[in-house]
Amino acid sequence: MFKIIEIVIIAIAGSVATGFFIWYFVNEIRGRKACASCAVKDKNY
Amino acid sequence: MVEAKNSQLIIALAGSPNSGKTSIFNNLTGAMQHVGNYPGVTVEQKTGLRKYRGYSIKVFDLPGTYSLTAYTLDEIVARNYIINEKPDVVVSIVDSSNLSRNLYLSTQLIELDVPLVFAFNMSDIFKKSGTEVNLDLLSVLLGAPIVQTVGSKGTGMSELLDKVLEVHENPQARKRVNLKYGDELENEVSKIIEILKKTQAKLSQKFNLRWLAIKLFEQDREVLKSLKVLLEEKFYTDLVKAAENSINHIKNVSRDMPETIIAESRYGFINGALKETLIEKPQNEVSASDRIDRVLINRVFGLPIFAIIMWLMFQLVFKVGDYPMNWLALGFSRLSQLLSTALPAGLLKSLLIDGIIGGVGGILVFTPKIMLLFICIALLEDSGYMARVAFIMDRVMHKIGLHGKSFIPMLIGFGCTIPAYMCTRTLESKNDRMITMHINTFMSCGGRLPIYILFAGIFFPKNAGNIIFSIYVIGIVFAVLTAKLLRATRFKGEAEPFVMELPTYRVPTVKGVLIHMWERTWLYLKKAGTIILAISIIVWILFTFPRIGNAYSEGCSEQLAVLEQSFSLGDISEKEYKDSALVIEGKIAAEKLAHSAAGKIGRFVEPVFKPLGFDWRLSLASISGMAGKEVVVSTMGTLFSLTNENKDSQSLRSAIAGQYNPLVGYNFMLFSLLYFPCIASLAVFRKEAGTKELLFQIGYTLGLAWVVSFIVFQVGRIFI
Repeated sequence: MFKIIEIVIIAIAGSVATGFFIWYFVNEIRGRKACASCAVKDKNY
Repeated sequence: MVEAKNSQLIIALAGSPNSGKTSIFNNLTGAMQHVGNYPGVTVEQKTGLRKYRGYSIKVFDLPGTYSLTAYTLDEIVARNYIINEKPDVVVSIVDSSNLSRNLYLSTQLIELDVPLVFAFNMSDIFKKSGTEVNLDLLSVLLGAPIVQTVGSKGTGMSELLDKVLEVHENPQARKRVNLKYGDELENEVSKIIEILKKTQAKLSQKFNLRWLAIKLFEQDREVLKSLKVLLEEKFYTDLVKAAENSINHIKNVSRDMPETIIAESRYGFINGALKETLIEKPQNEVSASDRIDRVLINRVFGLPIFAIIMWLMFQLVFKVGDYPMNWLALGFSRLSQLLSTALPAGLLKSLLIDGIIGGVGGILVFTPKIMLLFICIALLEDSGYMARVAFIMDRVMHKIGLHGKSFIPMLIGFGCTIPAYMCTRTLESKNDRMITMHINTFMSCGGRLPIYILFAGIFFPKNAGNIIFSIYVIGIVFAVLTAKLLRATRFKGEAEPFVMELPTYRVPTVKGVLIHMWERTWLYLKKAGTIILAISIIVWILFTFPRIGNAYSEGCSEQLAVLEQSFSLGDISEKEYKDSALVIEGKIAAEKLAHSAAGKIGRFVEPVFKPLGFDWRLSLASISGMAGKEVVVSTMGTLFSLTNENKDSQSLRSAIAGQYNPLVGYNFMLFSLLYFPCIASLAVFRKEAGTKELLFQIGYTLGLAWVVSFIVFQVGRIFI
């Protein structure tokens, strides 16, 4: 039983992680910056 | 003042770079900030909220610009925001220690005819200079109230907000100031205004017509573009023709372009206003800033001092950062031990310990060092030294056909390459911009730092600070060489001249430094908690499946069974049993990894990396690093956690040290430095420079990284 639960949890974690990975990079490539991407302050001098 | 209940107010902060706009923004909004983008462009939009006297004030931090012409994207964005969004009040932040230069932007805000309040910032430095100003008179001349502020200390913030509310609540009291451009130009401006008045009402609703006319004389590309969209074709053609006639007339009469006359008139207005209101003391003593500059930007000592400061920074980051890093590492290894005893053996336990703690934990342990590095960078930036670095580098940059201004994006690249790419927009020449973007890749970003800390710490524990410093310097050297190469081949021409500003030195404030440090650390943590977590799970799955079952080669299972039997019969001691079991379990884990999907990918690409001294593990880590350089470390963490029964940080480090020699370790850092930073940065690169340049960037950096690492390894192994 534990093994089945284990497999299910891993399958869910894997799917969510892969989904997030794809979503993140598709957004990055489209330039929509999924992570407010490294929007470190643009220092002008 | 009467308290307004639940009233909304929008204010925009406009100011030149280095006017202290950010410190005022931070003081006004505190932690209630949001970073986003202006619509359609990747210029950062910072907003914050402030509750004050019953008002809910939304504060917009506009990009720092010297003027509101249409030369750079930042200027266009700032101007469009004011015109299109019509904030209730615009606060013009002026560096009091440099009034004549900073007020230029203010004159353009006056022309825009928006409700204005002036914040004369850094008034403490101004007062120390001994110069006095008749603020009441100057405020009348400029047509808006003036508040003296010290952004770095938070002085004058309430007064500033009071004046903002006063201007907002009493629109009828607003005094309109018209800058005069001379009779000849004024006549022509009036003619154009008359033509503009004949247009649909929508034009006068959106723009101040006098401002629009002036922009037509300045032949402002953006304004012409908007008018073309807004007006009927015939009307637009007639208007442009009329403007051209007027411009030609002005040129004939004054032998100057109207644009020049307008700029001169603005400076004339400023000089006049300041002459009437400033009481300057005779300048017979040298200011503190000038005295410091005599040393720091000295032609001979400037560059070595910069190198020493950088070297000290890395020593500090590495040596001091070691303590909290070790505490965190200890914490994660305790957590692993706890989970190890609490959970039954199996996949879930391995996912948590090897995948998540090994991967994400492997990244999080470096947080203290990242924080320390960013504290140092914030100190250098806030003190005004970073601006000097561009000046110091100017001579070096000219030798490679670039201007010192190109060094600024490179400095920003030490934090993250993405804003560094965006920052190249301040360069007006396309060639300069392309070269600067290409060489920015070689600036060691924050994502690469964990790789350096890990490998330098493992292979060069006594000289880790020096080793990391050398990697940063090598990055700069490759940037310089690449710039020279590109200037000689793909982007020929001379660097455009530009005047660099040297702001007055300031003592950085604790609050300012902490905010800057936290902004960057938060992004690092956010990345660790999101994309790196996701990648760690994926990497763990790739390392775990497909499973090999119990058919291990070399009869590992049988060996283990025999060992257990010998131990139970008392033939071997417990220590002998544990040591031998560890060796066999290590072999089993290595077999499992080799059989896994990731193992197969690693072995597939290994031949490409073998000449560089990288085995399949390092090859795989390099590939995973394309998603983000931190991922290299999380992949290594998962990989070595899976092959080690002992999960503590020290054992993982020993395991890596046992696999490779210092030459491979250094070469791996070098390879990680030279190839492009991450996929996200490539996406921004493409957006900013186009697909052709992107392909060049990918090919060039990968090729260079491979060739350099190949030479280093092949030559190095002759000696080692």
